[in-house]
Amino acid sequence: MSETEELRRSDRTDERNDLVNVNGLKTYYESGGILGSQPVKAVDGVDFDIERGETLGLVGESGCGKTTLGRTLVRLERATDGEVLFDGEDITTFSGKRLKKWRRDAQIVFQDPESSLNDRMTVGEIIQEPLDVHDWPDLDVDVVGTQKEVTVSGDGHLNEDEREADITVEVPGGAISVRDGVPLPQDRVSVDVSESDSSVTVTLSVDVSRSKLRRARVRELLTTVGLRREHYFRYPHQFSGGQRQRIGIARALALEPEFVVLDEPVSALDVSVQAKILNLLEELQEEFGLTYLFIAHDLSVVRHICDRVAVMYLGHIMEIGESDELFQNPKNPYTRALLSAIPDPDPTDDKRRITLRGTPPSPRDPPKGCPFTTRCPVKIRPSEYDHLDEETWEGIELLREILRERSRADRSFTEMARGVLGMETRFSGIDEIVREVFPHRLDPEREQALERAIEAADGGREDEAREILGQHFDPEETDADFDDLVDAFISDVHAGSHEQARSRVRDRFGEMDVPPEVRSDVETAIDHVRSGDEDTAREYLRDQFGSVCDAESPQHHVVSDTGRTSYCHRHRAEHEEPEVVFESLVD
Amino acid sequence: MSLQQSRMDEPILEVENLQTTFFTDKETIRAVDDISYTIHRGETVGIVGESGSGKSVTARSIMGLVDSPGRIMGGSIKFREPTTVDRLARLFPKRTAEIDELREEHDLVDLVDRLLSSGHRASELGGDQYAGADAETLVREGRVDMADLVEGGYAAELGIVREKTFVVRDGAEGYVEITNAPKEGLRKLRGSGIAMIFQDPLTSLNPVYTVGNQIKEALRLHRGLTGKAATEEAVRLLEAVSIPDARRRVDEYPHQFSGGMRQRAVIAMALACEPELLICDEPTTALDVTIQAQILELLDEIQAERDLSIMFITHDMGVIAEIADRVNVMYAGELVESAPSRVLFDEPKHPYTQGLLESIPSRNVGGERLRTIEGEVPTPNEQPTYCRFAPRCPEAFDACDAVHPVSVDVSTSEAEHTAACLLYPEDMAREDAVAYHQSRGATTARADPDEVSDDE
Repeated sequence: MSETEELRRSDRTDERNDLVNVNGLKTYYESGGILGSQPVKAVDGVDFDIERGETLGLVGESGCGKTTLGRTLVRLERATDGEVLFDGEDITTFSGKRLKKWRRDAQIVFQDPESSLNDRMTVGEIIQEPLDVHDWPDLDVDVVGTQKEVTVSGDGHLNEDEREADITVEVPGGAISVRDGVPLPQDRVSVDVSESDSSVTVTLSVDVSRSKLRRARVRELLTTVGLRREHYFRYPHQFSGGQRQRIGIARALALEPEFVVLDEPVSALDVSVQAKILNLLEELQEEFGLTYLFIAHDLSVVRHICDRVAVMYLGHIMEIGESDELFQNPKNPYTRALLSAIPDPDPTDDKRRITLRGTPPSPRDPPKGCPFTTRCPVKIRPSEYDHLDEETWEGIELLREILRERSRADRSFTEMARGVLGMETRFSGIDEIVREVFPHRLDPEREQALERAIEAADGGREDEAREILGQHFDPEETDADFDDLVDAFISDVHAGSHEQARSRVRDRFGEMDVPPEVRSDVETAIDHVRSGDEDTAREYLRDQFGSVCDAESPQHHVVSDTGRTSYCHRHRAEHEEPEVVFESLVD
Repeated sequence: MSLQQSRMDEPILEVENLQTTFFTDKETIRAVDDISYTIHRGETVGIVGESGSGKSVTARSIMGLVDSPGRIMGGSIKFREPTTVDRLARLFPKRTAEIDELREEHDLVDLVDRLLSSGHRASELGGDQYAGADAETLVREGRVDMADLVEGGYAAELGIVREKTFVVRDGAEGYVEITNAPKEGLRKLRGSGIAMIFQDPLTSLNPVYTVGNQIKEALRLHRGLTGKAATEEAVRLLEAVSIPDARRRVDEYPHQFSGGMRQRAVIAMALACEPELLICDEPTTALDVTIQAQILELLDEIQAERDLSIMFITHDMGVIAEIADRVNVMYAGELVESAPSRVLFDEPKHPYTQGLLESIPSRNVGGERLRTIEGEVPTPNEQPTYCRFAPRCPEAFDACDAVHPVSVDVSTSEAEHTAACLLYPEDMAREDAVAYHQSRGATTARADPDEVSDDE
């Protein structure tokens, strides 16, 4: 399934009934620094659709941009570029009244129920607030059964949008029906219909005040989300975490939205409470036909509740598709690593965990090429280094990682000054790093001496061990304190960690043990660092050891019959598929 | 498996009938209510439970970190690590009881006689079948030994050891009684004996000192290292917890570290003191899964390298399944089930454990709705004369409201597996089982906080 094929979006939208289409969406945060530094690319070009009534999961590590994406979809953040089509209309261009009106259709539930509720308001006031802001209910009227021009006067007005009207009046006769969501008893509404030749005038009178209707609506919502009517006058602090989250959900549902962004709604809850909220969300979806974007970092929750899942990393969607399929057979290397990292509540399952090195790069300075290139365990190597042993390759990658990490670190003015003056800063010490990342070996004679010293120290003859080391290793060769080194060596041996004792000496006196074909390149890079030019070193290493992963952005390749896509160079015909490489890694 | 080996060893930590209570104006909260368990060398014991079940208070009690209005009301916590016992015995000679010396100095029969004549009953010393026996019988039959007198607090009553003795040495063996330890003793015990890692690394790191400085402080206090040697050791420790470029990192401040890196630094600080027991209180809860995987792997490596015992507190059953050899399940201050991790996940016995496992989404893939446990964890604010889980339990019957269950053996294999539920032992008829719980509950009478006088 690895043909290069661009996802043809238009083909797919035809068969589907999409509520939301996102095309090339970018959200950047500009930082107001004096030097005009790089913006934070929180969302950096994503495309996806959400079908009406489905739950799309959005997963990823913290800082990957999933929350920003969710907030952009409900216009809590402004998109930098791209479009978000809601029922075919681009909401990123909305403003004023139109925006306010649309906001009723798209709501959000926040992660932390401790901080998303105002502690000074009662539960009733909190849930009622959106109703007040939007002057709910509309009391709009649909008049059916006539072709004539209709005017509505009195307490109501004529329905002007596609939403179902609160009150429907049948002409002739004036039979009234009130929509389910409005707690208005039919007998409290009366209409007066006057018909002329060309027009119908409906005069509506409602003898319940709006505020009373709102209070009734809030009480209704409380029971909908599993709270009790009498909770209306309580304060948030009187509730547990799960109950507070129910209040947040009730508030989001107050205006009967079509689309709800759930931003980690259960992350802060205990597992048994979490199960209750998940069940509630599913029930509400069925009852009200809601469409969800479910943001989470807990993948097992996502698997349970979502129809489709999008996996995000550093502002990009790495893989998106049907959730069962994606969980059972992840195609993208990142998805695979992420799934393998979830602790499985089944101790008999001996799955192999892929532990990723390091942390995600800064979205202010994302790597060139694929966003995952810096941590990818199955990154494509240039063909000339295919045979290179794993240890050396890891060492080179680690060295690149460290240099990248250093370029991100803040440097104080003193440090910059020290650097300019050629004095030692905390950024010096490349030798130490080289010792850390590359294996070191001694010549055979010294290697033997080392073993003899270990034997002696192990047998309690510390003086003999000291003597052997003193004979074969010259204190002048190293910048470290020789006596300290020997002491540490002996205490390592006593503690039983012989390998640590060996590497202690090897690191100080050995030669860097890397194959000849990469040796000169590595040394050139190290020399650049020594002369204080880390950027050149970084670039040099990228030119020498980089591949397509460091140079080009991947494409979204279709990887299954259901239209799942994965963002990885390895799906191209000329490369091996990620899972093949993963298999060989494990062996 | 490490379980088999460690089973042969003496436990390194023994918690017996521990009771920690918080006294507030409104109510008395029995946060930890009569729990007992052990941790062996090299073993990882997991403690799971929902928020408010008493997991963290258990850990804090072991560290001696329970502050007012909380107080340890009863039970004992024995730390049995020999080098720590020796070290504390040297530091606090006046508060150390040497069992061997006591045996030489005093005649056991005579001591027991004095106890009996001062109002203690023989049954209390030797068990029910020795009711009415005289001192000589008790000693001859091996029912009472000098060690028992010290452990039971009788030695202090007789005046042969000091009231505030907290280190006991018996030949090569011995223990530190943490509940009796003075502030100074606890300080010497923390760090090098028992170290703790907290959930949020930012709260355990001081923002105004470099990470290196904070590790060096631990090294100075616990190992007497200063200057260049301390710096070198700090760098080595950061390398040991896989922080790349450690020499630069050692001079950086906590805010310059990422979340996972901070937790690594905290682990490095804990390791700086070379502890024997590491208590981890939700150390990965605030981290992403990929970072969590790194930290769990690191703990695994460190444990193998140093033969460390770990007590791991979490509410994430997945993490527990991955890291723990044995799991203790807590509910409303009590330990409701304890089993080796495989057994617990395969055959949970207690209805609460069953419910907890069934509410995990990943164990129930494809199910339409998740099963939930109705209601919420109650606040344990009175002495239990009933099962605290009964109001939420799908299997509760009448007796559950009237009889407090005790831990009974429910093992189906060799491994030790206990549950505190009236449904067990399974091979007994229900009435018999209830009667069994009732009788055992009566013999293990508990200290009632209201009756205890206000001595510190």
